[in-house]
Amino acid sequence: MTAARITPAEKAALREPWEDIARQRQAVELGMWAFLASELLFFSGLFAGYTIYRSIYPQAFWEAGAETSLWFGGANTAILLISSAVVALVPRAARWPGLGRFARAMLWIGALLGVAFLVLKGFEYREDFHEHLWPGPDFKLHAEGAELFFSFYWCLTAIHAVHLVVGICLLARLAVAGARDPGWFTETPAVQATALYWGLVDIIWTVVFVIIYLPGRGG
Amino acid sequence: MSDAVLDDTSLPHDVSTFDKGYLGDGHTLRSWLLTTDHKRIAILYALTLTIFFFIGGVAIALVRIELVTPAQDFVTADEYNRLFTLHGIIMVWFFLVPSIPATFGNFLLPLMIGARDLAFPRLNLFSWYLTVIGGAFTVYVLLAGGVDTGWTFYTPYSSIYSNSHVIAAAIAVFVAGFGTIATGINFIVTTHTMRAPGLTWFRLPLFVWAMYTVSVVIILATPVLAMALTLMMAERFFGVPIFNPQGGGDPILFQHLFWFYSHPAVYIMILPAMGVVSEVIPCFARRRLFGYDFMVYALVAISVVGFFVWGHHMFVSGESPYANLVFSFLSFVVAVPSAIKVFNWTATLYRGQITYEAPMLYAFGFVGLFTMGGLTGLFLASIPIDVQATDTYFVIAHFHYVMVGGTVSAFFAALHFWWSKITGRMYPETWARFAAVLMYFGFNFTFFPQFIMGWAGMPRRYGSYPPEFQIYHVLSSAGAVVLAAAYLMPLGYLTWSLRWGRRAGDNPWGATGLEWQTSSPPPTHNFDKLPTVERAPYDYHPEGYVETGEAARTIEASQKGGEQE
Amino acid sequence: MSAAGRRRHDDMPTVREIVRRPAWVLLVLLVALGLNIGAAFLPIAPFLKTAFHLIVAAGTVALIAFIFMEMEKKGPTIRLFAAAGFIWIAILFLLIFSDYGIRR
Repeated sequence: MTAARITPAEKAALREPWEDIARQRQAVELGMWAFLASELLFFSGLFAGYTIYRSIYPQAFWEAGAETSLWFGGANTAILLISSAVVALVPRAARWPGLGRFARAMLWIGALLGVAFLVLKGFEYREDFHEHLWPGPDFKLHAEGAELFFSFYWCLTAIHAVHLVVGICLLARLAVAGARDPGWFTETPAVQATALYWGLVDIIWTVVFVIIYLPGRGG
Repeated sequence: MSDAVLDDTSLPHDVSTFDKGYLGDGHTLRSWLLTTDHKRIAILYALTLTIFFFIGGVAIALVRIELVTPAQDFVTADEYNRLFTLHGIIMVWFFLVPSIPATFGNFLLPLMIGARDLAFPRLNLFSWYLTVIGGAFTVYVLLAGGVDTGWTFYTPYSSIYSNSHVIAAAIAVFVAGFGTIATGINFIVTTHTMRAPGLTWFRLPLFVWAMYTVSVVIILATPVLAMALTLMMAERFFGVPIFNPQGGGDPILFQHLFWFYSHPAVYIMILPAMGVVSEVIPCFARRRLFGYDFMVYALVAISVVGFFVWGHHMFVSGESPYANLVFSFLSFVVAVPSAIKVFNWTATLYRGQITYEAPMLYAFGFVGLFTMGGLTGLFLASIPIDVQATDTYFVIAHFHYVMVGGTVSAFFAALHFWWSKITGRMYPETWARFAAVLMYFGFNFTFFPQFIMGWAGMPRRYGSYPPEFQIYHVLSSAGAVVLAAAYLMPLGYLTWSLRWGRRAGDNPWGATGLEWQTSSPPPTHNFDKLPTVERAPYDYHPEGYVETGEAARTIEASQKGGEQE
Repeated sequence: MSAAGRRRHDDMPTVREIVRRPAWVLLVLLVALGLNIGAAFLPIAPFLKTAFHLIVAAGTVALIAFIFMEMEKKGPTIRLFAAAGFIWIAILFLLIFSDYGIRR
């Protein structure tokens, strides 16, 4: 009945069993938010563990926090904030065919900023290894609980990095597919979903930065 | 009641069931493994879960053989640990958690709300593959020599000391967990966005409500288990001391995170069962479900309050006494909505025209066994008794009454109730009634002695025991044989019915749900014409339907009751 | 319905219009990041610093969710699911600290 009014672009973006692209977009968006709630709970175990141990060993966490690199952490936070502002432009622009190229450029910039984050992270990890900040027999600090801080440092940043890698792949995939089929790009729910995922990666990092890099500064 | 639908005229008799509806869509392996039809994916799940159910069953059969004699003489202690661990992991994550949602939920949710499919059919197929990949890891663990931590993976044993395949087993659970999360998201979105015109939230069948609430529990609980297992694996693999007291860590933290998932997981298993029973009982009592609104509120309440009670698994772990107090109180609170449900099912029967077809017998079995399991749960929620009963067979019996007596009974109720919808054939009624009764007796035969020996102090997870417990163990093992027979029987007669079963009409039970308005088996796109809904669910005596005799008086009485409310 | 919602070419915003709001928010977030880092070096009690850090972080998360992820334009269902994520974290913290807050 509405079939006659479906544009080719909408047809390219429609998936079974949907008949209306607007409904499909709503559904994907709801599903994505439900997934993000699930992701938040995934990280909640780490946050809860960190909070518990910090309440037990406040002094050790304070000393250990001072060993992290605020330069790397701060720069990466800024990079990720900029990238999420950039990616936030994508769903605002992608709906207009005339702005498709702009939206895809933003996707690439967002992905490159993500890669920059990972590169900095790699240098940071190398420095940490040199300073014996990996929990184990050679561990640099001796206060009880300092090892726990760095257990959470490694787990939080590594699991976040895995999410970031997934996010970069999603951004790049969307940019490539969008360039191949610009009509699909204006209608597909994948634009909104990808942007939402990237937002979550930034939200998680915001909390990680505060609890990992900021304790123990200024004596 | 079923006389009118004995004859099926919709099919010439030489057309096989397998050529009709969605089943006729292709017979190649490829047409099944790449399908995005929710009904076919449900069948894939059903076959997979059946295989795992029997692997888990064989593991526990070996355990029950060992326990016939007090001495450790059939398997070694180490093998014994691996057997009950395998039984637990497979039965929990590869049967009970996905059982009803992934099979009947997948098959029925779109049919019940008048939709063509789930919201994300490809995600649905993907979630099955995740379950299969997780299952493959489990099979690897099985073949490589097993895992001996118990299904609970408690640290520091799992993270430091165990010499078995802990990481592969944890990956299996992790991957399968994301399969259930994907299913949960799919169900949530489908329920929100794809209901038929007129099908408001308070016209949804309770099975749909159960699928919806269980999905919310799944997406909020499962990731916490995933993180607990990830941290345990990180400790085992990289040596980060998160749960290791030598590095200042606390092993109890693992238990907190584990039970934050695993207690709600009990509700993940039981809420769908409640949904099934809420469909079956009104149908065979020919009565509107008593207290529909409260049944919905009770489902929502159970799924929320179910998150507040996990600490009752840890009363003797060294958890603070204050936490014990809080968790004990909240555990009593969660019993209230469960009791409301049992009350409402019973009240639905009152003055109904009850018939005793097999699904109804299974549903009765559910109500009885769930009530037993629930009430003994109250014993365990009370701290002084739990301290006495912790890690005894009393606990084992309690949770088997809920999870096996409850969920598996409901699974079989659903299987018989919707068998005709799924296959287009009727199961043989006499055999099915016999199996239902046998299952009820076999179950009690197996697990009731465990209450007694647990109360007397028999601890769980031991292959050898003092001789005074032998009588209970022998009874329990004998019961297990009966129970096994009751589980194998449907496998036989249901397979038989695929070819020789009587052809069912579209609605052999005269039931009210939308799934009964389409043909059996349903066409690939579910409905030739998408339905609209104008009535509340369970409309078993609609206006204009003239009853006589006792039934007429029943209606009159219920209408008077309705006005008084 | 979808025809009414269809976008016409002359409605198309300029790049400048699209960028303006997120750019302002980004500026605020970067300033907040600077303040948070600066506050870490203040000679005040650690718990005050931590409280300040967490408040700034909460504000950052709120701005990302509401502006960047466009939560401001969403209906109650989506808000409910997003809120559920945070509420369930609160449940985990509250009940887990009924143990760790008292145990010693």
